[in-house]
Amino acid sequence: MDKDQNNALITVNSADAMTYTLEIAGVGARSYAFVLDWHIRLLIALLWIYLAAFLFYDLSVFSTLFEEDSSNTAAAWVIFLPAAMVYFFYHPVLEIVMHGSTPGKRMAGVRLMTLEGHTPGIGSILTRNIFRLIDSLPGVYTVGLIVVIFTQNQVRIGDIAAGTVLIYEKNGGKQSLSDVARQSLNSSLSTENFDLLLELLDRWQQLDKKQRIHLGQQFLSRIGDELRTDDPTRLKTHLQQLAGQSS
Amino acid sequence: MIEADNDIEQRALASWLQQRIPAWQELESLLQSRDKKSHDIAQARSIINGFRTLVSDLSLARTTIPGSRIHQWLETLFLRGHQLIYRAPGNTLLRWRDIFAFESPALIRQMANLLLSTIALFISSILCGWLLIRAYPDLTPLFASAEMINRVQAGELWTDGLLNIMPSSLLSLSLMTNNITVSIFAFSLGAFYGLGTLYIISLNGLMLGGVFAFTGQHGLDDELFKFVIAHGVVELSVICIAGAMGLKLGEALLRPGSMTRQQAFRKATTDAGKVLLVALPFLVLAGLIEGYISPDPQFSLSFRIAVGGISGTLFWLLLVFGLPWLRH
Repeated sequence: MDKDQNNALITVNSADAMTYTLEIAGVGARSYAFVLDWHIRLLIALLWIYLAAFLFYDLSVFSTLFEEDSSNTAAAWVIFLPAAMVYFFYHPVLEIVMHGSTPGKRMAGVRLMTLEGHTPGIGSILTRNIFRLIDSLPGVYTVGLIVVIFTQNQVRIGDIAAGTVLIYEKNGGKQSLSDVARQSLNSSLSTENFDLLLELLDRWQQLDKKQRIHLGQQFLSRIGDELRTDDPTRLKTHLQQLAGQSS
Repeated sequence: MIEADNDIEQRALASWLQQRIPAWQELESLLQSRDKKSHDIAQARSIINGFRTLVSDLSLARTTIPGSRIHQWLETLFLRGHQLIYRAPGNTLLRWRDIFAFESPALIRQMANLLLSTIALFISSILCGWLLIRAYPDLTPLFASAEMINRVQAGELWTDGLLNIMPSSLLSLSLMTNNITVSIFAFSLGAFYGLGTLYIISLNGLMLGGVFAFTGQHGLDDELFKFVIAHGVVELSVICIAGAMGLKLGEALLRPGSMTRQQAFRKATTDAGKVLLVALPFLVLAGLIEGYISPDPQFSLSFRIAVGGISGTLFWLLLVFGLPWLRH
């Protein structure tokens, strides 16, 4: 495994004498994914607390729950234990089930990977989660954040221990192969311009007439093309032809 | 002239794609179906053959059409294939059986010195705590809460009547959680060059010794021993083992040998994780004993000693010798 410090990439050597690069997710993407996950698990835990109290008891149970009365012990058990389990086991369980991802990581476009370029196993995931105890010290993940900032692979102590790294998902596989092939054959645009064009066409319906013409013409001038028209439908047809799509 | 060249290139690309696309599509669908744990050998062979061809196509794409969408798509397909083909064997149950039966006992025997040192540190801390409170009883609030002190001074242990406040099940659960947390802390704080582990082990030893000395001053140390002995053997053993694993982390950082510090730390964590995988579940057993037997006054001292002795012996036998009859 080699590291490219400037671009935060990891280059993995495969057994087939091929190399491939993975882009390391930095402190921003990592924090973004964590905050998303934190909201999700907190909301689920709170939802369970209110749902369980509402369904199995009465909302007034909250006023007596913390009194030293053994009759409320079962209620505390039913209401808080599942919520605590959701909150504390959210990361290890979902990372195992979702092969190194969680809903927050997925939304942030990142996932876990081992340094050898594999999906982490159960042992690695449990290890990196046990070390949350240290990374979260003295609260709000201060130790973890500091270690992420100062390590080459931008990883926290749990990742160092487990041999994992957070990387950006490659999204090349989201499009079907036939679409990609058709676009490659029918379009002479560069990849960057092509992505821009696809995004413009994706957002076409959300734009008003003036914006469609403005952005469409701006794109055409960017690629050195020209189409004198005020008709957004004609403009869209032209853009679709450029993208190799049938109108 | 340039346009003609472009046209030829485009036609060559079209011809190549038309030729290769069916194979890539087949590999993609095979990779998808293989994700669902199929056991078809012919299918596995097709995946490997398809992957070999993909590697060659990807090489070509990297040199002829770098950065194109086809290239990106092939990179993604390559990554998926690579992850599937070169992943570790996935039989988790067999893996865990090996860890319980052979790997963890071998590691424990390798780390015997470290483990004995941790136990020695823990016993020394207990003695220090005991001597400290015997000599300076005013320091008791360092190790015991005000409520504990008041109850002992009133002639009863804080554990008396525990089952009237909390049912055994809930008590067990909260004790398990607490002990597992302490053990994991004792282990993971070893990441601070072993200092965190030394602190946790010493603090727990000092507290135990101090509390025994304090209860002894009020004639309740026998009662405390009676409460502790049934679950304490396993519980304290696990904490010592977690501490030894924490010190191993510290040692890996201080003396990484021929490896880099990160590599040594990672190896130490992997080894320690295997041992803890065997040891930590015993805290569930200790928690159950502590919730159901320890606070219940109807169990005699001899019964408690027997429970502590048997559970402790079984624990250490499994830890040191594993399950040798499972050897192939």
